[in-house]
Amino acid sequence: MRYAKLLLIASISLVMLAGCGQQKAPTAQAPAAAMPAGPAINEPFGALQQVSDKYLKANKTLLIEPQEVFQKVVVAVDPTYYLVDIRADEHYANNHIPGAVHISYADAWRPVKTEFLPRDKKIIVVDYSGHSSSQIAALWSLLGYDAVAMKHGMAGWSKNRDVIGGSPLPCESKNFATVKEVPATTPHETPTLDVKATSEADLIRKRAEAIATKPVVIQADDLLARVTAKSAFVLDIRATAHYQAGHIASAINIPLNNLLEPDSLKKLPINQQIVIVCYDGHASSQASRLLNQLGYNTVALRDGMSVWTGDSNIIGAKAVACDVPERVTAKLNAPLSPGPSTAAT
Amino acid sequence: MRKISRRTFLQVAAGTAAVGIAAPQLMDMKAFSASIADMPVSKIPTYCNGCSTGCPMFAYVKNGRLWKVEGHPVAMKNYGTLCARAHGVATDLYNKDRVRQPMKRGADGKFQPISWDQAFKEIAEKLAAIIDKNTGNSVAWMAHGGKETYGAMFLNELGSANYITHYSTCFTSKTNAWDKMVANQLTIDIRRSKYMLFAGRNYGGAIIPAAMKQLTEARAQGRKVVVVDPRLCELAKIADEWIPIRPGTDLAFFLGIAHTLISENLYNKSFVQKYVFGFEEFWSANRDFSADKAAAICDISAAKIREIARELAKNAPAAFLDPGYHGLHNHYINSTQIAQANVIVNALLGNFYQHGGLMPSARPTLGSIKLPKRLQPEKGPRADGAGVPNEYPTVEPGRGIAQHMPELIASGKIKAVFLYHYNPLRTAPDPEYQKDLSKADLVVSIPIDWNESSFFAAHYILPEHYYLERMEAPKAVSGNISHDFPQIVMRMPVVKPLHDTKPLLEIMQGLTKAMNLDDLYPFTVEDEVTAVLAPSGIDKTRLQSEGCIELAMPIKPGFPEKDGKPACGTFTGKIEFSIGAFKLHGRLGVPTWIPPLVSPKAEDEFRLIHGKQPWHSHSQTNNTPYLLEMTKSYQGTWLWMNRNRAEKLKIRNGDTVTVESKIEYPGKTARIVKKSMQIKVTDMLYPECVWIPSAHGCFSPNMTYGFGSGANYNDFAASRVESLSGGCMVQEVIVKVRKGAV
Repeated sequence: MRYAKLLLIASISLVMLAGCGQQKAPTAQAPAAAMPAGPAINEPFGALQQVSDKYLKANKTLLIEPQEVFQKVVVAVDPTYYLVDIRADEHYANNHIPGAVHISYADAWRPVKTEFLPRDKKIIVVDYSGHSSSQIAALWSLLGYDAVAMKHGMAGWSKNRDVIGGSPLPCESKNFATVKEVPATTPHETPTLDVKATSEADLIRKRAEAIATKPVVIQADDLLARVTAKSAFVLDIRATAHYQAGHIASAINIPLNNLLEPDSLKKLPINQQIVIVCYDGHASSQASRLLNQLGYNTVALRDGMSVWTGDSNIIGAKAVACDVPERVTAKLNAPLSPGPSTAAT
Repeated sequence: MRKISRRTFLQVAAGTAAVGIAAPQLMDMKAFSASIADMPVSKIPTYCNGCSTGCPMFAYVKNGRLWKVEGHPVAMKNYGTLCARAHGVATDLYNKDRVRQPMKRGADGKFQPISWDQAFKEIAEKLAAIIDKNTGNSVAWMAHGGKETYGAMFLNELGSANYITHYSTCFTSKTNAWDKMVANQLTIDIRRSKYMLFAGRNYGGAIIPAAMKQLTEARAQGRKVVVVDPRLCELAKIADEWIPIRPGTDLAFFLGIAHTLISENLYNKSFVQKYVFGFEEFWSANRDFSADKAAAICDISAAKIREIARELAKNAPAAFLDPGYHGLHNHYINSTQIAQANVIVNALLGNFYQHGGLMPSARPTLGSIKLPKRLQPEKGPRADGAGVPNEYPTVEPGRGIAQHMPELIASGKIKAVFLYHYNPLRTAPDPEYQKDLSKADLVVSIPIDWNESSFFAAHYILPEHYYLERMEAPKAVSGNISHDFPQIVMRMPVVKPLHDTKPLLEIMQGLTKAMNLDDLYPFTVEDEVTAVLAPSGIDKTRLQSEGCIELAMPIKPGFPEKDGKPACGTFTGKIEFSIGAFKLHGRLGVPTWIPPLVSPKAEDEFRLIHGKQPWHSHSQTNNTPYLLEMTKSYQGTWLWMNRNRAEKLKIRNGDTVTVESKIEYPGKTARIVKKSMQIKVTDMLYPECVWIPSAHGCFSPNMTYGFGSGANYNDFAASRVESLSGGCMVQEVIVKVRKGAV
C-alpha cells in the first residue's frame, strides 16, 4: 500500500515535471522562498528513489564522444545542441569549446542557472574528465532536460593541460591486482532524507544542493591503499560477466541498471563511504550522483577499471585511448568578476 | 500710480483675504497689470526638467514671476523650440500641489508639517538605529537615474551598495547590451543619413524637437524614413512608410534583417572582419532564421524584410536602425536580445562611428569636485541581486533592479529607503504591490509634489526646490541624436524659492550633519560649478549668461583604435556579437529568437502596449493642469483599439469598457484588476494589441488636478524581473476588454 502511494506521488510528480517541460523559458524569477507551494512530498527518499530508478531503467544514453561534438557542433554547427561547460570560471574563460556557455558544477542545481537551459535541444555537459559532467547530465536529465556528458570532458578534446585545466587522459593502466572472489553482502537500512520539498523538481534540487560540494572521484592509488587496508566499501556496477572476469578485492556487484531497486539499495551501507567502480568513470559518476542524492556517501573511481587494469577481459573494452587530437577552442570575452558597483547614470 | 511689486501684491492680497470681500477695490487686476507693464523682464538661461533630454532653454522672469520659457537656439536637442511638456512643467512651479514644507506622517497615518531641523534629527536617529542593527547595506537610495550625484556619496559613507535607478522600469536592456557589446551608447546621425529605420522609437512622442526637425528636413530632401511600430505613432506620421508589426516580435524582424544581410552577402565584410568579435557564433546560431521565418512571426512580409535589409545595405554606412529607447528595451522577455540584435544589424552595415550612421556623443571634458579620501565601511552585496552571482549576475550593478523593492523589504534585506525624484508607486508595475514600500522601517521621499510614493509610502517628505529655483553643476548636452560639437549647459535659479523647500545638496548636508557626518559634503554648489567647468576652460559667468555653449572641437568619425588595433572599450576592443558575461553565467552570448512570454488568444484578449504622448512625460506631468487640458481636448486618456477588433466586440468610439487583467505572483492567489476606460477606435493600430498612453492614472489624492484621470499600464502588470537585464516586462500582459464600465 505504501509502495502504491509512493508510485502515485512519483507519477504525479512526473506529470508536473512534464508540464514544466512544455513551458517557455521561464523568466519572472522568484526567490526560492516564494516558489509555488505544491503538495508536500511526504516520503522524500521513496519519491527520489523511484524517479532515479526510473531514469536508470530508461537506459538513456549518458555520453557523447568528443569527436561527434566536434563534427556536429563545431564543424556542422547543428543548432539542436547546446554546450555547457561546468569547469571552474578561469578554465572556461581560458579555453572552451566554441559556443559553450558556462555553469559551475556546484551551481548546476540552482534554478537561476538552469532557467535558460533549452528544453528543445540536446545539452552537452563538458568538464575536465567526464566525471562531474556525468553527474550533472544525470541531474539535469532528472529535471527533465535532455542532457548528456561529453566523454572524458576536455581531456577528450585536447591533450594540452592548459586547455583542459586539469590532467590529460591517462595513457597507461596501473595493472593493479584484481580478484574473482565474490564477497557476501549484508543487509542495511536505507537513508532517511530530512528535506521538505514541494515538488519532485524541488526535491531533486534540494538534494543536489546538499551534495553540491562533495568530492566527485577517488584516484586509483588512493583506492588501492584503502583496499589494502581493508577500509573501503567498493561497489562494482559493471555487467556481471565482466565483474566475474575480475574485480577489485572486496567489491560487490550490482549492475547499474538494477542499482536503485529497493533490494539492491539494502546491500549498501549508509554510514560508510562507498567507492563506485565502472569501466571508465562515467557510469559510476552517474550512479554516484543518484546515490549521493538519496543520502548515501559515495565517490566514483576515477577512470574506472580501465585505469586499474589493462586486462581487456575485465574492462570489456579497449584501454583508454589517449591519442587525442588538438581541437579548436575559444576564449571568453569578459572579465571574470563584474566591475565595482558604482552608480551609473 | 505706485508700482506694485510681487511682494507688495502678496501682502495686499493677504490683507484682502483677512478682511474678506470688504475691500474689492484692492484686487483690481487691470490696475495691477498696468502698473507692472513696463517692468523689466530678465532672461535667465537654464535647462528643462520635463524629461531626461534636458533641453537648454531661457526662462523669462518679470516682477519676480516666471513669465515664459523658450528653447535655446544653440541647443542641439531643440534648436530653440521647446515641446509642450517643457512649457507645462515650467508652470508647475506654481502648481498648488507642490509639497511646500517638510512633512512627517503621524501615528494616524496623516501628514503633519515638521521643521527641517526636527526632520533631520528624527531621520538621523532612525537611520542610526537601523544601521546599528542591520548594517548600512540595509539602506537603499532610489532615484531617477541621471538626475543627481549626491545619493551615491551618501551610500558610500553608510557602506551600502544599494543605489538603484529607474532604468529597470525604462530601458535597462538597451544600456546593458550596448555597454557590454559596444561599451558606448551611440547616437543617430540623421542629418547625413540616407536611410533611417525606426522600430519602437517615436521621436514625436518622446519628443526630441531637433530630431523631428532633422527628420522632417530629411524627408524634404528625399532621404528615407521608415517606421516600424504596432501603432501609427507621431513619428510614423511624418515618415515615408509606416510598417505595422506584431508587438513583442521586433527581435524576429531584426534577426530577419540580419539573416538577409548575411545570406545575401550584403553586409560589410571588411568592417566585420576588422571590428567584430563573435560573428561566426551569431551566424551559427541563426543560420536557419531566414526572413521567411521572421515574417511568419512578426507579420511583416518576407519581401518587405528583405527590401528593408537591401535598402539599408545599399545606403550603408549612411543608414541605420535607430538604437531605440524605452519602447522595446524593458517590456518583453526578449528585450535584451532585441537590443543585441539591434547592435548586430547596425554593425553588419558597418555604420558604427560613421557619418550618416551611428556616432558617439560629442562631450565636453568636465571635471568633478575633488574631496579627500574617506575611510568608509565595506559594502555588502547588492540587495536587489544586480551583478550578484547566482541572483541576477548579468544585470548592471550600477543601475540595479527597482521594481522588486517591496520584496527586498519583506525579506528584511532593506530597512530604509530614500526616494529622490522617483515615484515607483506610479512608475513601476503593480501599484498595489509597490505600496508595500511603506513597510520599510524608514521611507524618506525627496520630491517636488505629492506623488503617489510620497503620499502612500513615505514617513518623511523633504521637498526639494523646483528646477527653476535651484542651481546645479554644468552637464553635457548629448545623447540620442548626433551633433558634431560638444555642448554644455547649467541649471540656474530663475526665481526665488516659493516655499520652505531646499536644494538636494542642502538637504543632504542637513541630514548628514544631524548624523554627525558634518564633512561629507564640504562644498557649495558654486564650488561644484567651478570644479566641473575647470577642464573645459569655460568661464562660469559666460556660461551663466549664455546658457548653452558649444565648443569648437568637432567629433570625428572612425572606429576607436589604439596602436592600430580596435579599441572601442569592450573586452576585445571590438563590437562583440556574443556577450561574454552572458556565457559565463550560463546564457547564450548571442541573440536567437525567443517568443514573447504571453500571447492574446480569445476574441476579447489583447496585448497591452503603451507609449508616450507628445504632451506628457510619463507620470511626471500627470498633475500639470495645462497639459491635462490638452489631454482633455485630445481624448488623451482613451485606450486605442483596432477598428476590426472593436466591431467584433460591438465597441464604438468613445464607449466605456472594462479592461481587466490577472496579476499573479508565485505562491499567491491571483488578483483581478479592472479599470473603466474609454475607447478610441482606430485603423492606426495593429489588431492584436490595445495601446494606452503612459502618463495617466494618477492616484494620489493630493494631486488634485490629475487624481483619478485615466488608467496606467502599470495597473495591469505584475512586478517581474527579466533576469538578463532586470527589466520588468510590462508589455507581457494580456488584458480582456468588454463593453461597459466596471
